[in-house]
Amino acid sequence: MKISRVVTYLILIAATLFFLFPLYFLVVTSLKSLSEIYTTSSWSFPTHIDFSGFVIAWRGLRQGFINSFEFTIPAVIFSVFLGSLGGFALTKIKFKGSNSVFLFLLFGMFLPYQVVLIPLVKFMASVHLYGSIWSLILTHTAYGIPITTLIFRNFYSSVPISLIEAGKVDGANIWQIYTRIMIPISIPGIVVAVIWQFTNIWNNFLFGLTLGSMPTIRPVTVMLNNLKGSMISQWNTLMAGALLTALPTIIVYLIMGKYFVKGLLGGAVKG
Amino acid sequence: MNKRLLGTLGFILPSIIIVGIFVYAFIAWTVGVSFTNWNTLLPDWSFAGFHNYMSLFSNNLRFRMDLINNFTFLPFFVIGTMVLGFFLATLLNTGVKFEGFFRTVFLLPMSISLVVSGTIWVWLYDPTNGAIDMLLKAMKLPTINWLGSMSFALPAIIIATIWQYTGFTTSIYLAGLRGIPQEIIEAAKLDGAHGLRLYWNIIIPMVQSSTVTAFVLMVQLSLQMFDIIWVMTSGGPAFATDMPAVYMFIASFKQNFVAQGAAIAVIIFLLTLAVVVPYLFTAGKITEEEL
Repeated sequence: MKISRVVTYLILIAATLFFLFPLYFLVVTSLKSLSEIYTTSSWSFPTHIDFSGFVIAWRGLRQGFINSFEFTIPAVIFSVFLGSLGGFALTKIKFKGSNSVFLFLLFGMFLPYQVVLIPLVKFMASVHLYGSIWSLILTHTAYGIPITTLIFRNFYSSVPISLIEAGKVDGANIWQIYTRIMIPISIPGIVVAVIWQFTNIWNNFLFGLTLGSMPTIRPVTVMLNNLKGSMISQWNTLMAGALLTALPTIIVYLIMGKYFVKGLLGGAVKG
Repeated sequence: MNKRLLGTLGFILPSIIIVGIFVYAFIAWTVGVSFTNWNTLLPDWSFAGFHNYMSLFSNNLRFRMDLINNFTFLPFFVIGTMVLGFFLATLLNTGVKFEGFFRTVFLLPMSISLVVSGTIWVWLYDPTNGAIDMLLKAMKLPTINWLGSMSFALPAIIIATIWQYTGFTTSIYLAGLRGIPQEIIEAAKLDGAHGLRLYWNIIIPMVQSSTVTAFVLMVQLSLQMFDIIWVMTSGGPAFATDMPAVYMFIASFKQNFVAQGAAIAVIIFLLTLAVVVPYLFTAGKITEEEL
């Protein structure tokens, strides 16, 4: 009994090392000077802390940071709002074919984006949004709807119907029921959806690569990949850039990890 | 009654329209283009029949390699993430101390962009100074030029993706394990089921829905694997890590073989449908029963 306990912890610690060791090299390398990268072992701590990698990386990624925030925030707001409307309609207003509508929307969750990529670019060009930040806002909103609808549908299905009946008795119409009864009790669901959407949109690469041809809208993930191409073997700069790019989602995850897991499972287990 | 319906539509119609365009109309467009001769810079809508598909399957060596790579990657990635995920979830479910800490660490890679983790892994695999070859050197083992090698580049990417996604399957299985009523396990133990038999006869069947979910998600991710490959190798060396999604991107946006790119996209889509549609229908049935 005792030995199996020890073995359990040893395996869990080994797994912890496996999941953390790339992050050790990320941090350690980002704090070295370029010469130290070539003269010391990659395993060693920096002999003196050097921020030149961060300075150079930030110069290359600053605009990407601004761009990413500029499309991520509106897209999170729009997709979460639409998901909450849809989740409410699907659970609390019983209508014929609601399950079909749900499947119609849910299908988008499993969509391989390759199959919409070419028309997406052509569509944005034809409505004169190609090169505009709105192309990314619209795209991330659209492909976020399936998951946010699912999250809110699962959340609202646990809200007792009596709350809505009470609203009806008080003479509230459906919109008032939504804004005055549902929204206030939705806060946990909203947090889950916002965190999930923020992480996904910030981390996205493929849409940024296809729609972000202009530096004025190019996401930070695409800029990091470009930095990798222009700063070959300057690992302190590249690791500093990678760390900066990862920081917003890591911070959100470390503070609100509980809700991140709920988003993950809201989109996975209850299907 | 009619007013009610109108109210309902107001809530759900925006989503239906947007998804209708961005998902369904776009899919139809891609399918349509895959049957044209649009393999030029300017649109060419002339009908080509199955030509784009036939040429991919008959004399396109790159696409053949893509399929081989994709279906080599898939079982290692899917089984790797699922077995590790189940194993770690099982250990976490034994009432260990610091469970929250372990869970947070295991899932941390899932919060990071694949571009970030791809960049880190390229550095770890670096042949001159990278952490992994340094370790091999210290152990007096021969070093490997991981990402520059025809035989090691794909395994290197498989390891990186397993690192990224195992926390996901761990969470799915942990939720499944937590859903098993404790009485069932106690009853099985009273009946003499212990150790492996308890797992084989009781626990694994009880988490079947987690297994199905994890399987569908991991297969689906494999079929559209793009970001981390693009960042780590761009499909190289000599197409050793090339995959359909990478070829699709190159053909459509770099070479202007739009119809060919569309055909590859449709093939990825059909492969995905084969695993997702049965899943959606069973999931749909389950939710209907719940309601």
